[in-house]
Amino acid sequence: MSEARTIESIQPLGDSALLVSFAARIDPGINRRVHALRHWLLQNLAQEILEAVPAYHSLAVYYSPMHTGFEALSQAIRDADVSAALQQVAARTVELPVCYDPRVAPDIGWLATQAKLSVDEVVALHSGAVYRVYFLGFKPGFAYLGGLHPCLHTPRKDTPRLAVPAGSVGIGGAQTGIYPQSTPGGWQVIGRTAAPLFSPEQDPPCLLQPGDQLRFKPISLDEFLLQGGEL
Amino acid sequence: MILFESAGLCCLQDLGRFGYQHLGISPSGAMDAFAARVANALLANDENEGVLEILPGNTRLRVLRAQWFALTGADLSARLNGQPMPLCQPVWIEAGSLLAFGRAAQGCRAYLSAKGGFHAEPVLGSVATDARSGLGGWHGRWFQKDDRLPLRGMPVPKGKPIRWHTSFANPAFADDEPLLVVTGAHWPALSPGQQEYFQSAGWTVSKDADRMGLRLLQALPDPVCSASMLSGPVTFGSIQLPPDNRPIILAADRQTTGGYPLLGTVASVSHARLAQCKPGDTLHFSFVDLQAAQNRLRVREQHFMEWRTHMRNWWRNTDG
Repeated sequence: MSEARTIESIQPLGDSALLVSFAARIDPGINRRVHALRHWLLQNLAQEILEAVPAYHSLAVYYSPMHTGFEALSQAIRDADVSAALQQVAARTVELPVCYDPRVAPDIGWLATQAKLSVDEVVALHSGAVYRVYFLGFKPGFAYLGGLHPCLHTPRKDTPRLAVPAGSVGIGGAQTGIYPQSTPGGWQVIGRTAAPLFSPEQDPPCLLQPGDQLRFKPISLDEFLLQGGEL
Repeated sequence: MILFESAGLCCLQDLGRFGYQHLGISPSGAMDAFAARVANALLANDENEGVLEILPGNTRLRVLRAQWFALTGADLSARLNGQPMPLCQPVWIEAGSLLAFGRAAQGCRAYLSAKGGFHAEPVLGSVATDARSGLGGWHGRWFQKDDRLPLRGMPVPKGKPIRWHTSFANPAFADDEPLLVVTGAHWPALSPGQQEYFQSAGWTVSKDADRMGLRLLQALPDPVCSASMLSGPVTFGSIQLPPDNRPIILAADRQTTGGYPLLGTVASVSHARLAQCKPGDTLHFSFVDLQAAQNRLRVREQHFMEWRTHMRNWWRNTDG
């Protein structure tokens, strides 16, 4: 089956990129099509395109107008058969060890009180879900995750912290995520991982790839320190 | 070797760190990529060779080893040992010379290339400085006083005096042509009055203008009726409309995705002019259809490549 039926629009994004849009929802099925199309492009049109950048329901395809044109590329995308790519992109699940000890999770007690849960219940809910890496953006290696339990939805802090340590796991509104680098931030910090989310000397440079499934595995503070974590 | 006697506002850039935007890594790269390419082509360098991107200020460079250099882009009143430094031509600089930059006479960003390039470690395939993420450039940051940047090229014998400069001299200032824009997904959501205002107004570049983006001072009249939207990919020159209705034009250090309505994207042939805008400058927008924007780009590239071949031949035939 070609993609023509599921694509809602293909529009120019300036004169050197185009934007493929599917139905505008945060939806795993729609997002899977985005990643499948990206996969298909990298396998079949690697010579024609420069790169393909996914988001929730859309994919930017960068190209050089010296080598191809909008119409030719749009037609190739509408004619794409992504069924094989759809099978391939569903495969990867990443397990990320996270320490929920209050010594590296300064807001977990507050969040538990807000949610009228015990800290153990917060940990169980947060680590019991499978999250979808819809896409990466904002910062190198920062994943936009879907799948946070509604009981854990929490407002951001009124005053952002000036420095949130790298690896911090936070919740802001309906989103959960991991800070790849130390940065100012307003999310409630409920845990920390010692795993490097972004290291440019590694290949690939980011632990999480767009389209991955992610699980958080609770670990003790001792394990966290043993894995290279720091207080 | 180049010694930064004072750094001013200066960073190393090439044409960008492409191929990693799907990981949230900004491409960075020279804001005025065309001026950077001209600077490299003047010395028959690879066009992706790292160059210094210099903003108005007091960047003072002591050249510790003789080499060919070329300066393009903005006119920042550069002086070489007290004399005006020629723009847009190869310049042989003797060891011990001082190259000092000053106020902006025209434009905002100057580019200095060195024959054979500067020595810096590429990160993810590029020496472009992405200071927000600490990637590339000189140890992930802009230059500071007392930094010593090595030159890679071997000094080649000094040729005949050069009495020409390129026809590509500062293309960004050729005229007051408006920025050409290709419409974006949310342009139709604007009312006819708003569309008219956007195309006829003179827009002032605000103080919030840097490598990440240029925020404009004026606001589009009346609220824009657009439902809350999902973040999507954005590119160099994308014009976003945040809730305060003051447009932001994204630039080299942009985030890879954005969540504001997209009015359009500045055409490639206008990127140089956009990159040379400084706070207080006035901009006009003019819409262009996609074919016309691409044709303009193809013509410029054809012209550029012919000239680059000419420059390479000139270097091949110049051996003192």
